[in-house]
Amino acid sequence: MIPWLARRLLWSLLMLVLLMTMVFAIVRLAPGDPLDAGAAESVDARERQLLRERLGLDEPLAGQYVRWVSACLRGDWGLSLRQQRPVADVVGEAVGPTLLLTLTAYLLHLALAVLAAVAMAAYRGRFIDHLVGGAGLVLLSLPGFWLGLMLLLLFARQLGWFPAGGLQSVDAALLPAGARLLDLLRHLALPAATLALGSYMGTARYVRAALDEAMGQEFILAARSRGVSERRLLWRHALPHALLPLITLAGLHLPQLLGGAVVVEVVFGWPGLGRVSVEAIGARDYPVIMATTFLSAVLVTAGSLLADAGYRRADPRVRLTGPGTP
Amino acid sequence: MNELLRLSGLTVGFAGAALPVLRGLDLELAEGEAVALVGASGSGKTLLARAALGLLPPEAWQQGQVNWRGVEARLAPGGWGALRGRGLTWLPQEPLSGLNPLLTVGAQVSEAARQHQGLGHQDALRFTVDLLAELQLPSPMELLYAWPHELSGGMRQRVLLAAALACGPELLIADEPTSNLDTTVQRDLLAVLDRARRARGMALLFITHDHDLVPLVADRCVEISDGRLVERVSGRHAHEGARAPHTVRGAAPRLVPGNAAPALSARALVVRHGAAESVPAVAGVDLDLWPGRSVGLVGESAAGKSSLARALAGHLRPSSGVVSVGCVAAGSDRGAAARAARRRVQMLFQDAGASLNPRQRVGDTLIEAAGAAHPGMVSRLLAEVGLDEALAMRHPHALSGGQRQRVALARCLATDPAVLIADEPTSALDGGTRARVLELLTRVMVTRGLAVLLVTHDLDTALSFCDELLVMHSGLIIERAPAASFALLRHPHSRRLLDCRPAALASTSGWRDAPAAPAPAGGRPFSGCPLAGACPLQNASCFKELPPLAELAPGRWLRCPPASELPPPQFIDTI
Repeated sequence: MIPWLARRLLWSLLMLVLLMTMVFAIVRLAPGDPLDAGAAESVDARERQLLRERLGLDEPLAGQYVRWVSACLRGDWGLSLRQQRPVADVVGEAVGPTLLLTLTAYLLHLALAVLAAVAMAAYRGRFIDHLVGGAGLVLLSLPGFWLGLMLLLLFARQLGWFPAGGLQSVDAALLPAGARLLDLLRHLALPAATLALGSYMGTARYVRAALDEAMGQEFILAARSRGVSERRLLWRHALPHALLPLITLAGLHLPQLLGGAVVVEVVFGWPGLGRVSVEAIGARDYPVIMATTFLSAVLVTAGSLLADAGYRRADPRVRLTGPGTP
Repeated sequence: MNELLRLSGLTVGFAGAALPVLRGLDLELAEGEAVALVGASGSGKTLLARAALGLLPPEAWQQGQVNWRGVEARLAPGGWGALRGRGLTWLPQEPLSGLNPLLTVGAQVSEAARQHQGLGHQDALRFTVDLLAELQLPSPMELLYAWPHELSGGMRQRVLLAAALACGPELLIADEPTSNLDTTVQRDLLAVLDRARRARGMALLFITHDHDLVPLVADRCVEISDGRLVERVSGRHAHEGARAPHTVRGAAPRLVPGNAAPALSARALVVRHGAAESVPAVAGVDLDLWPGRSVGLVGESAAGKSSLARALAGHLRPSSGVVSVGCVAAGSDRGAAARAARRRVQMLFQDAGASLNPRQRVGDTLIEAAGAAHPGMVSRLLAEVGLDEALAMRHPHALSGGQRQRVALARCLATDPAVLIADEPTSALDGGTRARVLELLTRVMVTRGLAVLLVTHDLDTALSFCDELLVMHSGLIIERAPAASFALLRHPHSRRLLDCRPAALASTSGWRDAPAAPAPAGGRPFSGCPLAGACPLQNASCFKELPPLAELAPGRWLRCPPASELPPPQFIDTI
């Protein structure tokens, strides 16, 4: 396990370095720079040139890269060009909300997927199977922002059950701890539901196919011949087989959810990484773009690493084989 | 005796098939009765078992009645589901796929105990431990928390039996429970099953393709043929004085080793599947195969037979040692000469269906193997293996099991080999087909002067086909003798293999008295004789060093000093 982990970590590190280099080059080669995007029209060309020199934007790309890397290695992510605050602060504030949103959404996504899959497998070929499958497919094919807007219209505007956006109410700081948590959860509900509802069907179809396959195995027939009830066969005997590959799938889902979170954060005004990076890209705020990209990449890499390690722990057959075997 | 299960006019077929598989079949089974159901593969034995359990596959249809204690099972209170477990239950054929790989042994066995014996969690676990101990499983407490993949085949099958017995069934339907086990393991499982059945007064429907097992397990035997059952005379005595193995060895004179070079020879061959310090699967084997002669390699599963066969055929790279074909070292060398040498060694696999490309027509397979298309080559090859040349246009799925094995043989012959290595070529085939394929192999061997190595766990097959026997254990050859005088085999392990053949067991009384505990999975490193510790002849020196393979008499070699000092075996030949 340990040499395996060391090898995986090394590969992840290499991938991160490659990715950051590519992103560094791409954002700088793209047309426009921070001054075009951020500075007022009134600033004339000479002043712009001066500013560029001060920010080091007139240097060759390689020189800028070396400077950026050496600063990063010293733990200095630089200043946000737009907000004139340290990048670490800007991004640090956004990581928490994004993690909260994506992890909640993922748990919801899993719960919905498993419930839907078991329901479809239990009523295989009957009305409930088609109903659950059809509804899920409709949700899956809706664009995320539209689904979010519709939920907003219905639950926030028409019914008024949930707040329309933001991380917490304006007066949250004054509330007692319990009420503050409830307030946070109420704000979390719609964006998390949007993310989960829009994506759970993919996983559910996967789990359902795996359930069907497991239910066709001989050990299920043997357990059935011992009088084990159908419900127990499904939940206790077959479901673990369908959940095992889900651990690996989770590693692939994390980037998808992070990507979906960008749209949802914008729609619901959720102060997370997604919104920060969208704004940073608009303003060509290079240091912030680099930092958010780096953080997302770390999250994705860590997610797939955790998923692989989790799979190795969860499957007794894989657990016992030595390092080097997949 | 009260009637337990009655099938009347049972007809089962598959949608779209022309003929139903079971056609108006009747069967009665009384309380406590043990019945053997014999049939060839494809005769519908398993379908009958599943019909009795109400667990037919969804694509099958059924007519006729299944009655349980006089009531039609479908209409019984609670339906079939209420009967399964307490009433009747099933012991599947394949011990690995019959157990859920993601549930521990304890979870799978105690589940049935909780449900059918009304026990709480702790009591069910205690009940499970007692049951595992009753079935002679070693350290049952630890076994509770073991995963199925950690167990050997014999242990898995006993765990499955424990799970079935935990239901407290009145009838156990055992569906070929031993056909994937070694004969030694089979004997112990049958003994355990028989004792458990008698202790409970449980009825048994034992499904098998092997007539020799009938007297060991059942009072009564029915045979399935043409979708109906035919009653056979009282099982226990039907096969008394079992037949001699039908010999297919040709009468043609064989070349005597000594006057020619061996077609293939291996020296000090070692094969490891893991790291350099792992227990070798083949631990130093010397072997010669001579043109026109067949050598039978027998032994239990995990003895290293297949690893040796694959290394000889060049499919596995040996860790050390030399394989030479003709006079060219073929094993580890690159280059055209070694490649050509390896082409002279062909391998015939157990699962001929899986060894043929499903998308390739038979003719194309043969042309590809030959490397070039000569006019008439395909039909000549097919004729040589006794197939019609019209089959050349077929795909493998349109062939029967026997035909596939013949096509696989023709593919081997297409390269004009000198050596044929057959790894369990007939163990997936039924009795009649098996004998015909062995006869074909003999004919081809004699006419082409092929050197043949037949790998098998079935001693009877080896005895009927081979000129010489090699007995393997733990990667070593422990005995080598002419097949004709197999009765003189001396090694304690060889004797055990001989004695555990069902045909030999039937005339031995008391074989079910002391079933041995199944061996655990995985090999152990050893310094002395691999069998030391479980051998009646062992002495102190057996533990110290590996005994050499010593020549007792011309052509007879033995790796057991204590056995070689015994007088020649004096026993009543049961064959």
